Amino acid sequence: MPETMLETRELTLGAAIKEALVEEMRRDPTVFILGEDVAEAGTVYKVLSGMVDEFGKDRVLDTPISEAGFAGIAVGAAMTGMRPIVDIMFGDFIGLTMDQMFNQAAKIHYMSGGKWKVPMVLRATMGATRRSAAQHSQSLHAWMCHVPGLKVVMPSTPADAKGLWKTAIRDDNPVVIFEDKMRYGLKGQVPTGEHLIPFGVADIKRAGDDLTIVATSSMVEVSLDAAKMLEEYDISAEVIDPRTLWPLDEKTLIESAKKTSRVIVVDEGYGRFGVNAELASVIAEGAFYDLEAPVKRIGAMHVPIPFSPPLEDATVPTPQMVFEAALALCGKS
Amino acid sequence: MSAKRLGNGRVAVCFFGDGALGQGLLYEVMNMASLWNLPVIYVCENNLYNEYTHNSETIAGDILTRAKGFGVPGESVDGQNVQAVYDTAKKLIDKARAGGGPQFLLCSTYRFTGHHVGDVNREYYRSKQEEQLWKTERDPITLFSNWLIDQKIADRARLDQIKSEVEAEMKKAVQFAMDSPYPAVDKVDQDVYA
Repeated sequence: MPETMLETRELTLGAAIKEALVEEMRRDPTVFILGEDVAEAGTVYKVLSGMVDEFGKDRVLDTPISEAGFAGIAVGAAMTGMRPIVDIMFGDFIGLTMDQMFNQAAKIHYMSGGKWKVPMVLRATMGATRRSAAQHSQSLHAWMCHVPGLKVVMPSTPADAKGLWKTAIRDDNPVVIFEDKMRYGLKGQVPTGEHLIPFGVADIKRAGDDLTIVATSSMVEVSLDAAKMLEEYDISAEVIDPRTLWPLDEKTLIESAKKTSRVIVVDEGYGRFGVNAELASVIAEGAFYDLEAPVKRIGAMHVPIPFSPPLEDATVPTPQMVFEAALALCGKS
Repeated sequence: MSAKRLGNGRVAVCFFGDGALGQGLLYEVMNMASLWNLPVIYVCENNLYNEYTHNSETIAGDILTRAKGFGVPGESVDGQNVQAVYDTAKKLIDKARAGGGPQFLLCSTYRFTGHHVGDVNREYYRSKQEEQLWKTERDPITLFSNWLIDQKIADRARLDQIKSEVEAEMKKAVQFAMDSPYPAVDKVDQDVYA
């Protein structure tokens, strides 16, 4: 994390996100939120609780269950002077917004020769193990990463969430932020006030020499747990969080891979055709002659997320899975 | 669509809540069903709430007029009145089956509990008195039971017996589920593909 002169105090991930939104809405009257149950309900995870009391129903706007419609309204509002934040309570529902996002929001700046800007943020949740079954548990951020014109942000800590959120709101492009629904209670030190984190700057969450683990969102915590387990085997793991998947800090990933020569990438999206494939490919292309082994991918199993707890737990990456993959990669299994 | 192509006399009955009226897809399919004269009954269970938001904040205009705009005739009915729902639904189904095209049935009803198991504290979007009123005054099972007794089709003792039998069966089913082991982890990819 970049050095900061700001004071810090402990906040949860949810509170850090809310703080970023509140500060930006106080600073800029063009920022407003729209989505299902965002006002009095404060969203299903209560992250926005109380915001309607300060900003009123014109700026914290409950919508009908019309994702395609309000995403489109946000695109238009963004093009004409506002900075909307679209709330999609479950990332599983982003499919409903997709034409507005990838054919409209993502392309308008390019197709208008830079004349129109779409400064909007779409926030959605991701993450399994909440026993919410196949349609409320997916991590579909890879879809958004695939489309040029969108930026994709994946905060893993409260401080990163605040800093990335503030940057997202001030960005002149459509930004999609995925928040892990299981981690809203995660606590960490968060700077007060003007804490902004630039996009495209990875953060080394733990320095190490023997192995690089590139992890996104909640998989950072999973990987840090695995790194701790690896200490007993005298394996020093470096854990890197790209923080934004696009723009992607390729340089930091490649440099770490060159240093350690062994890499695991861990992302909670489906393992096939996903973010892991891209990260692994970037590293393989950039550090091929320094690698001792192919980059190992760990993602969600290629099945719908099951409702049954033991089955669900088997489908997403755990510290144990990362630990075992690391041992194998280091020839110690 | 399959009923029309196969000519098997079937009718599709499509249930959704007032929340789903916000989805554009509904208007796309009602348009096509009307254009192609498909045997579909659109049943809107209007329980007043889209998750945690009252539908006065989400629905503009009149619901049945929306269907009418696509040439889909509709009727509204007291969704707590079993006989009324049956009679109206039967009429619409018969019409659709006879080649009358899609029909719309709007049922006024209520969601007795939360939107999901975690939706426990609901007072910020609806009062306990309102919930209580629907449960005590407008429970369709109670209303239908009273009617059966009035018509001397059944007596209170028989209805109480049915109630306790159903409760016992449900209790047994829950117990069976609680006592059953979780599936083995190797079953995780069962049924992903046909």
